[in-house]
Amino acid sequence: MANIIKVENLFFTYSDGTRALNGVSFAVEEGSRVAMLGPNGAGKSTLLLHLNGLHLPQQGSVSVQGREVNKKTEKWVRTMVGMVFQDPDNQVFSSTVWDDVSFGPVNMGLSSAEVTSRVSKALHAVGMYEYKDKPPYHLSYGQKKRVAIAGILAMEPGVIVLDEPMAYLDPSGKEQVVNILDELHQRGITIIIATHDVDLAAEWADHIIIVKDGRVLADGGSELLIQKKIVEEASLTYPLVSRIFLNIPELAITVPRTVNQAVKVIRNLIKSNAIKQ
Amino acid sequence: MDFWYSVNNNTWMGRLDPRVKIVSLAGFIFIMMSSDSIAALLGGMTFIVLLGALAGISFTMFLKRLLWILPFGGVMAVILPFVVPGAAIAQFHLGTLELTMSVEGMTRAALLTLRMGLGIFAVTLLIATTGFGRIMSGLRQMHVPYVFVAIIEFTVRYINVLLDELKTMSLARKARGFESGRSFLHRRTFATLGSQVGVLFMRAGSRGERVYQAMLSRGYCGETGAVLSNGFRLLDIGLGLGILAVAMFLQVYDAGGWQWLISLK
Ligand SMILES: Nc1ncnc2c1ncn2[C@@H]1O[C@H](COP(=O)(O)OP(=O)(O)O)[C@@H](O)[C@H]1O
Ligand SMILES: [Mg+2]
Repeated sequence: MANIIKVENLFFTYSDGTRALNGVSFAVEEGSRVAMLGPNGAGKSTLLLHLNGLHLPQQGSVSVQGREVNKKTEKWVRTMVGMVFQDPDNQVFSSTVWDDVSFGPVNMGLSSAEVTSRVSKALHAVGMYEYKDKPPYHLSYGQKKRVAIAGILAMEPGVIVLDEPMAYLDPSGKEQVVNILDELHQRGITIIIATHDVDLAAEWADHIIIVKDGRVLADGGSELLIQKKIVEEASLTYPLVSRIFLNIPELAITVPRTVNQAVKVIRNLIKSNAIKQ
Repeated sequence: MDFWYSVNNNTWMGRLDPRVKIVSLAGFIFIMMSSDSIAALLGGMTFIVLLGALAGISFTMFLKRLLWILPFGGVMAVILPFVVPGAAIAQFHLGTLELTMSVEGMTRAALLTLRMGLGIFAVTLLIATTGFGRIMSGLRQMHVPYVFVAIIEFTVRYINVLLDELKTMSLARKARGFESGRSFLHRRTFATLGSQVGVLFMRAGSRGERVYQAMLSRGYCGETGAVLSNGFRLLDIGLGLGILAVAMFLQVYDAGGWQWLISLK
């Protein structure tokens, strides 16, 4: 598949002199699920803001669907790449849920019939339609998060970027967000998330990018998550499933990263009579 | 807070187009404010309460909202009779101080109170039958500058967020053994609270910046383009004009009749 996003040798320094990005390069394939991992301050949020055209490259380049992101294309980029911010309170500002979700589509200049249809579809997709007339103030954190996601869905972007989508969510809230992400993936939307959650990254992503000190430390599949050098350097931990198997090196197998892989490994061990029933 | 937000008022007043309601009630207030007659103002208030009753808004609701202006309006109403010169109707002696109540002062106080009351009543009727959200979209449909509407909307939306932050900060202060309640003049208390106000200010600022970023990322560019507009019915306009007509009537009728009656007393 074609690369929908391409970042090349990107540098970015904040006005107070903090160098947040130090030559970042990577590419994202259309329709993939990308998890960007890295410690606090690694530069993940700064990087994501570039994908949406909110920050423009000071050096290096970002391109979306082959078009370079710059002053001229930033408006277009924002309709192509939707960004869900970490704190939904920053994103959901209107006095009703419905008004908030329609904010993006109205900015896009769509007809009022089109806006209505998109807003209603987006609210159904995140399971928040019944709350359409409620003020955001009354919603739980998880519900606000889902409204924030709906606000982006209603713009129907090809790429959705989420900064720490699971932060502060309770287990059921996390599960709802994962389900929404799965649904979006089914529809062919490219999804990029920034997260600290290695278990989520292992289970969900098909492309892992590990960032540290404004640089890409590693770029590949979930096998990166069990490489000692990378995990230590990026101050991450191993996925929980992998931790169990890493403690039994005498098994001499490829360490599984997801629950499904682990189940398969254990089944095989039972079959080969390595484990007595 | 529920009072402010979504309202599902299915009476005719509730279904009236928000734009018509905003214009007619604002017009009502505007016309009535210039009235110098107690009777006309009372009539206006009665009319609003009647409209409210038709829309299922109880009189107690109106009275409760009236409490909002008590701190300011109440004080003014008490002071005015004593400071406006005119024919004395009562005198009080407080030690060496001599206070004189004047008729003119009483009338002024009554007019002021009634004007404020009328304004509060009309705004209460508007909000209680429309809901804050629809008033905001109504204003936008009326092409009120986006910034203006956004400021009102943001204030109401983020006051809670900021209050929550303030509460968390005060809890965190207590958790580390800070005792408030001592005099504000106590140096350390003052310094601590001062720096916390500073932090709150910074937070409000950086929150604003992030909200703005999030708006930009959804295609905001200083002015929203299209507005969701649905044409209003002729009936809406008729009812709006009706409300304005009542205000006009009270004004005109009062100029000839009521004022004369009252000045007779
Ligand atoms: N608005 C800002 N002004 C100045 N420095 C910032 C700003 N935002 C982030 N930084 C700095 O940039 C670096 C990267 O931050 P960020 O992109 O938020 O990392 P992450 O999201 O991975 O935690 C950090 O050193 C951070 O302190
Ligand atoms: Mg971050």
